[in-house]
Amino acid sequence: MSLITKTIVQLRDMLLMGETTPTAIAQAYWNSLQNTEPHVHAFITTNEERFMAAAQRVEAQWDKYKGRPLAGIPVAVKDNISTAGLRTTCASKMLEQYVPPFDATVVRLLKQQGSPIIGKTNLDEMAMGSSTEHSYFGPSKNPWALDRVPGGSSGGSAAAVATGQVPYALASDTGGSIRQPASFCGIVGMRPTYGLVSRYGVVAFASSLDQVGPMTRTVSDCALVLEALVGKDPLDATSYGGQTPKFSQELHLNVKGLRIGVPREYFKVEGMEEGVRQRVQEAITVLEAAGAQVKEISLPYTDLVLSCYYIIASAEASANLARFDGVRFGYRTSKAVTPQDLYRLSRGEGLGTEAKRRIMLGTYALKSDHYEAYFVKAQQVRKLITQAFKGAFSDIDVICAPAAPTVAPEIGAKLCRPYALYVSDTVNIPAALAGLPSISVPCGFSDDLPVGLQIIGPRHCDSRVLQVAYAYEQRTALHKLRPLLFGGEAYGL
Amino acid sequence: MKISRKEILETAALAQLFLSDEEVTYYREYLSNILTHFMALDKVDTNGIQPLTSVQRGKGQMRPDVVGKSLSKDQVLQNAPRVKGGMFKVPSTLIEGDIP
Repeated sequence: MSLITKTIVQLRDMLLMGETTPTAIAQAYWNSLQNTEPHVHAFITTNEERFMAAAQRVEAQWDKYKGRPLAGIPVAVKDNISTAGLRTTCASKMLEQYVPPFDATVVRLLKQQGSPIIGKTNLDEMAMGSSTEHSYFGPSKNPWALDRVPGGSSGGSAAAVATGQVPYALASDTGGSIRQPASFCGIVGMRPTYGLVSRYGVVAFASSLDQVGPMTRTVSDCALVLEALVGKDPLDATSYGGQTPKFSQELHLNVKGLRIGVPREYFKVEGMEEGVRQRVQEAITVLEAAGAQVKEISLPYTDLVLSCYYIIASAEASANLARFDGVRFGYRTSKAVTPQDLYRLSRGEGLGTEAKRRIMLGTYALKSDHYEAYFVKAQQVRKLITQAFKGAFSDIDVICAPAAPTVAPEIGAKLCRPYALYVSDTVNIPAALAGLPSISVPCGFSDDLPVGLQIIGPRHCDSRVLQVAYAYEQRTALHKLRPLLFGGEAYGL
Repeated sequence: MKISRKEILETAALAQLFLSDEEVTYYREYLSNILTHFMALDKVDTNGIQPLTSVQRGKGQMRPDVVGKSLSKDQVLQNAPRVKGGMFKVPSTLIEGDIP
């Protein structure tokens, strides 16, 4: 059937068998993008010429590229990840015209693989948000229901993969920005152990929390992409080395005896929908039926994760966004008389509401008279949260929980109440605070919209997280479903 | 708790953010509300708990003190809003008549 229904693994097999070519694949996905983009708006920038040229280059040098797993496989890159010569906006007026002179390390690695970049995907401005509604370029739509958000901040990447515009996408996760949109769009999204993947060239939001990860349609694809992204990078001092991972070859796990912890607090989050709770419990039951031992656990301090995260992330963001001053790049006001004007007006005019909210909150928390009460206190609580996970993992192997407390809300529904949007991050924030690997994998539907199962592992146990996700996925047919709107089959297991 | 207008303006000044009068009012409301929620942190005893600055253990990484590859001047200037003589052009920091 059509190339756009194939997984990376399937496309690679076809390429190696000579059944298709990089340019044929590129053309198929480009056509798909053209047809669906007016409805979904997943992209901020596309460049057909560059994309096709990249595919042609790989095809012309196939002997050189054929040993690389992602060769000839198109990718979409979230628009907060630097791509040399290709506009990178962070969905902000501040960077509307910004063209990076360098590639992010993760982009360089994908180019080495021979993976042609189809375009830059939409996000909440500066990666701050949970719905993609905070984009300067307007929201993306959820391909399962076009009046719904795709989630955020990586909503564009999620929508692009779920729609079939691209087989995989790169995205970033600071407090759930990969996992939640993956959940809302019915795809796989993973946040690796903090430090596993280089952050060089990723426009910084909160440096102690940001991580780049894959968004794919299957767990096998996710493992393949993650392998290509891993490694110690001299340009990112927080990246660590270690053995070259072979996640894609280690996916098979005997589930018998696997110890799963289910945190009761994650099912009591404000606004948790009954349908979501049921789908996630059913998913855990599937693993239990396969031989896993499931027990309820308690993760204390869950009621504090929101405060802890928003103080730390906003404080770090206020420092990271200080570089946007109208001097060296980005938007510059036309009204400046003094240098002070230059900074204050460029920032005031160029940055959006949510970004300014976070900067104000972060700056306030770091003011010398508040620093101890807010920032230091939040860091102490972060220590407690991290210790709570360590304690929990002393006698369990993985944690299973919802990847979001609800299905995708309607566009516009939650925008007027920022706190309501923040609360739904409660299930995703803890793994980010503790730097743990965490994946969202589709586990069914509620009200005809996708639900995601979140699997969290101890630090450095990315392989185990992928294994458990794979073990669950292979016991369902959910990864074969596509949105009905775009020629997919109706679900109904 | 209600944050004062003065404190909002101080915060905006530190953040180098111009705020309109409406925005000052808005941020007073927003910050006061959010920070009320965050008072939940006060209820946990953190006596003796080391603040966590990084999830990673170990010392910072060092590299050899060797000059590496960098961007060219043209690359550095390519996104600049205003350039003159190979430099970023900005409003003057000195006003005529000032004693430097």
